[in-house]
Amino acid sequence: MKPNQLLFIAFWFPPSRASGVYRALAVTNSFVEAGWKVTVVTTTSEFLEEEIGSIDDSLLSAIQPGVNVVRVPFSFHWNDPDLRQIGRFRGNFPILWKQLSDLWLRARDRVLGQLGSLTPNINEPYAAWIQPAVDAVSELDQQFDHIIATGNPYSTFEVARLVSANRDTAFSIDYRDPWTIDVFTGHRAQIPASTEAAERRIVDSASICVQVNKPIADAYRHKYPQNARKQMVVLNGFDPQSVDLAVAPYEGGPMRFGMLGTINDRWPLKPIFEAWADRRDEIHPASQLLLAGHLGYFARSSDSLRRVFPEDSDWFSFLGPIAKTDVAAFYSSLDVVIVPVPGSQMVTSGKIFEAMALGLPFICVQEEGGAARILSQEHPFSYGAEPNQASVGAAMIEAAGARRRQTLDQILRARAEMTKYDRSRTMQAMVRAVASVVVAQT
Amino acid sequence: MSMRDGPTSADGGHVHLIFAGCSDRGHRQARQTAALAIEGGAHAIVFDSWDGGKENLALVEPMELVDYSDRDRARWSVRLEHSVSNGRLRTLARKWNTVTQGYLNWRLIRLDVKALARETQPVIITYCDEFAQTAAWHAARIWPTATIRNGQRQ
Repeated sequence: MKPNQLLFIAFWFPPSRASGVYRALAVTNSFVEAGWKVTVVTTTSEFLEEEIGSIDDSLLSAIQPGVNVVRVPFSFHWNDPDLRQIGRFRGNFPILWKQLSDLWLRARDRVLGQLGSLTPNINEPYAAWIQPAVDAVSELDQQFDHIIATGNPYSTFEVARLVSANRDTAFSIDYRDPWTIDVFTGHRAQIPASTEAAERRIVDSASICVQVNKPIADAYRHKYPQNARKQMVVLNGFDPQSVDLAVAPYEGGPMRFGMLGTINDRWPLKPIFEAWADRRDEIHPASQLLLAGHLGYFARSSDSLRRVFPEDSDWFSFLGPIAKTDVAAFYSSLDVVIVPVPGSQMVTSGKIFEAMALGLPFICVQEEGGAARILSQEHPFSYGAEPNQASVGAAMIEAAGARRRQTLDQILRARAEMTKYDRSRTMQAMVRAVASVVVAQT
Repeated sequence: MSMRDGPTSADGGHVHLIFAGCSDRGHRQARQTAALAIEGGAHAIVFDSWDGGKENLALVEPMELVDYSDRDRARWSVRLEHSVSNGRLRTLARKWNTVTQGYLNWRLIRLDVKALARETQPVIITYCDEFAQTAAWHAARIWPTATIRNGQRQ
């Protein structure tokens, strides 16, 4: 019997180190493990190196053998205005022109959006990649049984819709973040009504809409009630390689608290640093706070982020980026993990699953009611904290106490309970759902 | 230095004209672009009005640097923004400066750029921030065959 063929549109794919890459990898590998032949359409290394400014080649080795990767060029410069074609006012006052242009678009949206007569249009820089990607797929001499697109960027969804129409093949979409709903407020995102029309058209045509947590799925059920049944949740889960470490109970001495992830300006770092400076002596005067990860998703983000860090000292160290293959080693050096999570009801953060899988005490710093805090409550060594100094400080003391009391048996039991969030398990729900669509169509 | 001192491409390499603009980001990008251009055998001429890092740019040799930050700071609206104590007036001055910066910066350097036009023909013109786009727009009209690049995402 011939294996099923999946076409997977994932703009961020290794060697990109964008946060969405891990889920894209997990989707790819889960389908391969389920016996599918997978073709991934993504962008080029040149774009990642020259315009994003950072790559992680170690991620390439995580792609299962046999996966066909089709790289379609993209450049932000495709969106640059041709200076020789623009008029005198725009040429002399580009910032003012942009502000007036945005005002006009918003006013037009308010009027036409209410009339519901807008032509669907994807308004994001990556939209220029849609046609080249569709063209690249049309050159593939292959039949596909299903198409999945993962976003952001959401232009991938449009690629899937267009390819689906060309090839008469069903498609599904995997939202790593909500597109037209603000993930931090739950309200309508600040996007043009024409983009919302584009999303509606895509959701209408898709077979399955995959979301990363229940609050987002519920928000989309509410937004598109006629497509409510298409919404499903596939949690991000953790990568077993990242938590594959020898665990041991606390043996006394200074403690090491640590945070890992792609650091961005939404992380509640300030209260964490303040709380650590304030409460460290109560834990152990020689204890250390370690921070590791890339500074932002773009090379240009690093300077502004670094400004909020304390100086490297006996109590704080910034270790910089850690290769995927060294993540477990980093965690094995810690006593307590801190997971800073911005936003609230809809934000889960992939890192929370790693922290839960370790078996160590961890502190989830997020607003009360945050999705990551709610999810982590089931863990026996989870300590939630509001993003303020007092709350984080109290959680640090509690987590340190728990670490002192923790037995090896308790650590192992916590680890065993959390294997249900192993990414290869969470992704199986997507594989099963897509397989059932394929079966229903044959 | 001033362009009237005679920017040339005496070594025969092509000229790469770079407008750094006035932001931290633009300045950094200009430095990278100039270093790459020089590495590739080009002669780099950089117009920069960023205040605070000339040493870094000057290190990239043999780049020719036109530093007009003093002239930029002497503009009345910039002085107003930095001297006025009234918050509303300061905000107004800042907004005015933001939307007019590109054009007024061009006014400050246009004679230098036009002088350059008599002596050389840049093959590539790069603008490194949104404030530098105005100068690039004018340069595109002065040198119709030059390649115009947006250096902001390179």
